[in-house]
Amino acid sequence: MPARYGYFAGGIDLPEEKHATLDVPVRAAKIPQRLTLEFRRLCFSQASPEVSIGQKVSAGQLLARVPEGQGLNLFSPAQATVAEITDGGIVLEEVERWEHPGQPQGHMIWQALDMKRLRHEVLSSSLAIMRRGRVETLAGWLQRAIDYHCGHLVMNAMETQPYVTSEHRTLVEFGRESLYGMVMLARAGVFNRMTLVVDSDRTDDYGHLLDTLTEFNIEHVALPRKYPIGEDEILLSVLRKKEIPAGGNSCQTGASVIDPWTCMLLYRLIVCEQRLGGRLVTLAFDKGCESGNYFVPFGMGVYDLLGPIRQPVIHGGPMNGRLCTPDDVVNYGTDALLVIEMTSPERSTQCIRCGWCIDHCPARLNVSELNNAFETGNLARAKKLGVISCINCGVCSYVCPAKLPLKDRMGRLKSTINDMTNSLPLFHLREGRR
Amino acid sequence: MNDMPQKFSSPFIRSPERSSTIFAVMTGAACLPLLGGIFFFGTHAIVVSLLAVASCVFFERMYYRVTSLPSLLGKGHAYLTGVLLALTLPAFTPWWAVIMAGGFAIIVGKAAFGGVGHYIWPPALIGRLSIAVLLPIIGMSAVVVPDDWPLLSQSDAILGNISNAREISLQDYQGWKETTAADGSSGFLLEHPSAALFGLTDMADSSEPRYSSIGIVRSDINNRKPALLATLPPLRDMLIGARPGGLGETSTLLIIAAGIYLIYRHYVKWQLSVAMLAAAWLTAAVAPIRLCGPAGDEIVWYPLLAEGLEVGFTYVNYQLFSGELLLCAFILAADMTSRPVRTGGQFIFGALVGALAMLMKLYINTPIPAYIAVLIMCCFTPVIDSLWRPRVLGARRSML
Repeated sequence: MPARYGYFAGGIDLPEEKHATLDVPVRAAKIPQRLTLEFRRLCFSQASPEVSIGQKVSAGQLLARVPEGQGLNLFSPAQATVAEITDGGIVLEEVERWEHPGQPQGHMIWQALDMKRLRHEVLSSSLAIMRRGRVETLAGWLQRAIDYHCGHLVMNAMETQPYVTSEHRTLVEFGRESLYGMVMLARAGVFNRMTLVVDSDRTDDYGHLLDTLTEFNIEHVALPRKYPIGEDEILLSVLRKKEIPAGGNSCQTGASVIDPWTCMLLYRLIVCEQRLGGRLVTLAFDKGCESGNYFVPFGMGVYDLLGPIRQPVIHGGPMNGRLCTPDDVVNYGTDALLVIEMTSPERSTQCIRCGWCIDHCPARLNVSELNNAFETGNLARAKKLGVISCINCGVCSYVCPAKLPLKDRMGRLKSTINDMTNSLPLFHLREGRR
Repeated sequence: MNDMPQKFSSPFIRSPERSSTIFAVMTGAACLPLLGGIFFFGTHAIVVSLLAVASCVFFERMYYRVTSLPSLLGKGHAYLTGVLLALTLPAFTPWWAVIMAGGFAIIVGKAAFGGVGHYIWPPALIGRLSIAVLLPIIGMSAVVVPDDWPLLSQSDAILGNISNAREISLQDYQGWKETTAADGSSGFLLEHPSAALFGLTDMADSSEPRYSSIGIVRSDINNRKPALLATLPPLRDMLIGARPGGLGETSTLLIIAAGIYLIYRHYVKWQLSVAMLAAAWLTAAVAPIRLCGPAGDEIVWYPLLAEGLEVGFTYVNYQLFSGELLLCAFILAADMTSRPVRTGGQFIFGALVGALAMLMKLYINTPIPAYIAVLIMCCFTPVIDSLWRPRVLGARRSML
């Protein structure tokens, strides 16, 4: 029986809307016409191309190199031809092959690898943490965990947003590999405790993983699906009864959070020597197209993947995603692309002080007063009220009967305060003296 | 792809609740006790209700037309204000007083502060207060606080005319259902239960034996039946609303039903209502009152301690059901703009309003103690909001 943990104040019970993709096996996306590989999104810095225009490249071949410690090297997601090289990235065309990840072909007894070797493998893996809103290099993530002496590794498979099921399908189809990858990460770092967090309604689907869990002493925690329990700040406050300091990171609570897909990629890379240049993306449509979870190469255009669609496409979950632009491509943070019926934007009216935003805010912010601070431009007040602790979940905007864009306003307050604190020392001092 | 609306931003799904929905539902719920008022006070109640709503809507429109300001959410909220105002008014309020109250509610209570979301006091209570304050100034005190209040008899309910009501002594009044109106009249003129309860402490009335004392006459009553039951309408009448009072103040059961629905819809927090009623109940139970004996001597009476549970509970229940306290607890004090926003703050606010309202009811001779208590405590809403502030996620306690 999985352990059951506590709850948190605030949050909302969202409609699930996952039926169309929940039990559908993962499929490979159709062969893309072209792959636009942007250095900024996939390497996190400027990269030096290692190929030339017209050159045929194979899947997993190095395309561009980044100075060590400054980002990720760029590898080809598929067998294709280099069509264009610019300062911003590399474009591949004539893509010849794109397949489902398939079954793992293990060549190595990874259990025999020692900590030193594993740590070296992870730090040089050129993999990224593939979580929406928290994309970073795996090497950087591990180094930070080591620096903070994090002893608790948490694999977060809670998907509380409607429609999105990519992490669920990862655990169902690649669960064992994900857990092996997690154990490898734990050995590479200084983690002595591992926890798999899943949705309490989905525990039956992960029955096949139980052997692996017991074999490696991994805790199994089932949490109720209440949005936004899957966000790191809330998850760790529930799981560890410790809160991430405002503006800080999860390592400060002694825990690091990882996602199943990254662990699976790590396993494939180290054990199977297979570099998968793509990620699992939930495609959900209200009508017309076939919903499901697809294995999609990085750099594939969103509209190339979805076909001729006239409706707007949401990149990410419906609660904190964004609208796709015409040249948007799949990248590390693309866990879902949704073509759903959206609540049409309404004219917002003045706040009636109903207090629902405050009741449901998981960060316990006085959103109503922060909205006043936004409308009057009172940044010092907003900072004093703790807007930096906003986790950008969108619950306030969801419940607001006046249809105020509260999430946007909180985000703008937060970013402005961060900018001013970084650039104007006096602003910081003034707050400190109060 | 190109016609994507630029205004779209996450979250892309939203709760269906709108401000206008809230006002509409609250108006509907407030109509429930109003129906009780119409049942017991007849055509006059209908006229007062329609006039209150019409005047609020009229003043709302006129204000925003004259000032050329955008009247966001104005119309729906004006209807709500009108209905809430009607709940607080007696059925015999003259038409011009109703219109005046509507004008005060909208212009002074709401628009002057910037409209919905900005006002300090519930506009409907500002309208009611204007009548309670201004009419006595112009020498029309009897219009707002008459000696005897009309109530339709059972046979003349809904369509009866309260101006035909005739006085009936409490000895002859055996309860609303059991008593028939005299020929040619459609109802009774009764003393307001709150005034009767306050009369217990009124030394000037000591000559009347019926108010002599609960404590002293108790041995003369069979089965320790409290004297209050002999001097006030039966508790059953107080529950169904067959007692003098404002249109929406009397029907306790309908007020509770409306309140429960609003709590179910999350428009009203149960913590506020329960705290208010509990505080009022406790205050009434422990607060000593002065009673006058048959010879004019004075005794201090502790409701629960002195007479035991039966008499004490009856007295406290009468205090709770005889005024406008329940209406405040479930509808008026829960006005979203003027109450504190956090649950804890609302609990404190409710408790303070309940205690203050009961203290005013017991010790100060005012016709609308609960309304005044709400208005007073609304002044402290910003203070309560700033005092009740839980620690923000990830922040150190010293930050706040």
